[in-house]
Amino acid sequence: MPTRALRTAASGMYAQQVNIEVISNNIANVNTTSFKKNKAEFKDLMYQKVNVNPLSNSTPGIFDSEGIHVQVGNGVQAISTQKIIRQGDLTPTNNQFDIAIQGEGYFQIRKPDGSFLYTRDGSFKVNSDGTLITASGYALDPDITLRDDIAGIFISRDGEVEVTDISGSSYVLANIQLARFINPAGLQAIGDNLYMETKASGQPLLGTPGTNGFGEVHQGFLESSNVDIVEEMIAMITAQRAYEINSKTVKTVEDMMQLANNLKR
Amino acid sequence: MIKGIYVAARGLDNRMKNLEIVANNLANLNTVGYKRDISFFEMMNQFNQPDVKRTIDFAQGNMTQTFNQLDFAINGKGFFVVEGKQGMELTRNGKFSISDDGFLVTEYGAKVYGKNGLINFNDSITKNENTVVVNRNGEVIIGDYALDSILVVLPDNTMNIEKSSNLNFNLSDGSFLFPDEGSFEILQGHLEESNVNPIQEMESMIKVSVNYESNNKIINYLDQTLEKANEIGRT
Repeated sequence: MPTRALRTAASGMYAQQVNIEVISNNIANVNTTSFKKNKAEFKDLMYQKVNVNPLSNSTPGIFDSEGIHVQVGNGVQAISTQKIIRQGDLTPTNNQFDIAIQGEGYFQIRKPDGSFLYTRDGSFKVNSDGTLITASGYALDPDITLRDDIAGIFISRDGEVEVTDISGSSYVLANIQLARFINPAGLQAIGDNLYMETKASGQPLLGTPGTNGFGEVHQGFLESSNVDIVEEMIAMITAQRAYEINSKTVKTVEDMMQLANNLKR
Repeated sequence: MIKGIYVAARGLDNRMKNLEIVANNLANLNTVGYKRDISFFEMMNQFNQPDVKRTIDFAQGNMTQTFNQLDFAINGKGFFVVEGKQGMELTRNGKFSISDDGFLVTEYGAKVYGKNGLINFNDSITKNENTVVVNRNGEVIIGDYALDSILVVLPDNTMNIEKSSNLNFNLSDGSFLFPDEGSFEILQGHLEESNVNPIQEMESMIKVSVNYESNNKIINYLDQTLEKANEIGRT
């Protein structure tokens, strides 16, 4: 039975279903700080050589003719999702611990076990020890710890953290470092706006904001999600139509198989 | 008379295989770098006879911008060369990354060739610079140092190209040319979309199913005629 075309169409429908799942995740995160949209990726499956019967062949009977073949593919597979690393808009929040990155780079975050994670979500908070932590509770690395007598904090675009104490004297407390990757799209998203280094992303390179291609940091701003609803809607329409057209293949195969079954009167 | 039935039945068989090709094109509607297969009945040989030689449509796909510095698309003719399981393979899928040992690799781990052999970033990445700039001629520049050029080749006969999976192509006879500079450009931060056009495929699908139905009818008529022949001599 000619079930290859059916399986091929089914693989196409399944791939589009994955596509819709990715798109719906993007739309759900339209207001998530520093969210980077995903794009589903597909690959074609293996090709088989199939013998065909040329109509010019005058031998009676249906034989698979030697040497005359075509390559027939077996469909598609959804393999991965890719992050689209595009700058999100900066939204003013007037919160002195909110820091947005304009340009390339990630904040380096230290987990309690000493390993590092990366994020662009700069909505920092201060914990009971006075250390800057992310919303998920991990400390910014290198540590920025504010003493009890700090009255004001000013972060310049190159990451210099200047604090003013109660007596009115100000001094530079620390410098915020950013991490960059040769292939930021290869970072693994682990939820909570956090990313993990992978083989594909490459090693992190640390540096000062605003130099050597590193982005600048902006105090009092947060980076919004880079999801564009119109773009997602278009993608959704495309995916839905692609799903539909694969189902048309199923219908066509079904009709043809029915004709074949009715060959004998 | 019986031969006629066989001819029509071969037609049924071939139409079904064509539908499989159309189905595969449609399934790969969103596959980056995919090139559609042309159904074989569309082909005519020099005697204007239907021929079964299958071809791949290498028409340019649309470009999508991904903003990723290791995504490349070729605008124009030519292929990236990668190290496949059976020697050199060609691909139009320029979604690359960097392997553990510093090689530029495809999504499936195949190393990418430059003009001076496989491209390796190992020395360059350790330096305090990790912005890769690839200009339109394919020159890979890290900082102010030109590392290599991405190799782009053009098979001298596209009829010799066969597909293998993972969006790669094999050359059954390995001869290729180097395209002239200016006949192609490499776009960094872009990927080439599939060149499948759903309307075109729908048209093929209709054509296949109508053809299938006609062949089916022919078999039915021949069958009825044979029945009449069997009745000759009956009184």
